[in-house]
Amino acid sequence: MNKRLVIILCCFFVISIVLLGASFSQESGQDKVLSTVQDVSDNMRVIYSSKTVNKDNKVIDLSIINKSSNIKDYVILVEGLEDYSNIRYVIDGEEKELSEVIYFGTLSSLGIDGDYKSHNIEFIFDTDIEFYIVVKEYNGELSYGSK
Amino acid sequence: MEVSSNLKKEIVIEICVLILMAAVIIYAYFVIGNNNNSNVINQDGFVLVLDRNKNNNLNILSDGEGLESDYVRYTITNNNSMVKKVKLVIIPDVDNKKVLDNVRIGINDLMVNDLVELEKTDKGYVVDEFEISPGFTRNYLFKYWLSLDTDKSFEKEDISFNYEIILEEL
Repeated sequence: MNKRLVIILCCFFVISIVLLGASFSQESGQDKVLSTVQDVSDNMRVIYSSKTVNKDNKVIDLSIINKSSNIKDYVILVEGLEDYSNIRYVIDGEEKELSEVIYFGTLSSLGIDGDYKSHNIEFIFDTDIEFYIVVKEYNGELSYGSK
Repeated sequence: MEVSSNLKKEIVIEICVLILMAAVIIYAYFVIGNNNNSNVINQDGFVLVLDRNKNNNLNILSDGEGLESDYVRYTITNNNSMVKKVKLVIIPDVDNKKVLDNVRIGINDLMVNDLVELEKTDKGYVVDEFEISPGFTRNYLFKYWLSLDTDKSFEKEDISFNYEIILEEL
């Protein structure tokens, strides 16, 4: 192989290693946290620490933001569960028996105090079950469960 | 002139190597270029990256508006060989106490607090305390604004929020 070409290739190689080293030093590691889940609509943005409740994840934090210029009602619902017996939950410090509806709330219009609400929900159960939490805009009708 | 098959093979290999090297250099150039707005700090085996906002002015906002505003991303990577327990501390550089008392902080869109109500240390305010395994990264999204209770006269001023974020090993 031509001697000059070998030198050029070596130079390229060294530069590449240096640049790659610099870039990886900024990116190394695995992405672990910030595993929030979002539901975004025209009127609301909901951020969940997780939507799934099971024996390994019994605490859900969520934030709800009203993006519209109107007052909005919302409802926190349980999905994917048929038997609600022997399950209790604590929302914002108050313990209750679980049903399909966990909480009703109201948000002020965006820009007014109360346009954001946060909730901490801890579920209490001993069985190996899994269900989901969802926040929906409430317009006087609930569209959940089977009729 | 006839080119031997060995020479042809060498030329093909050289061209492939050149293309590969060029691709690596272009990739590295763009990765580094995209991090131009970042402050990268290597500290005690941690790599800390703060992607700052271009605009760090504070505005008087409701919590909903604050959470809908631009965020600052902070990334912590543990490059040590063992699990580390650390505190993430924000050190505000704000002279005006009236302003500082009204700074709201949104953390990962799930927690909103008055900055001065967070646990205080000698240097600043504790955003989080956690254990991090070797090779793992934690991400934070921070948002800052002034509460709606803030004196409206501040609205006419450009209030810049300068701060430093540090890790304190426990």
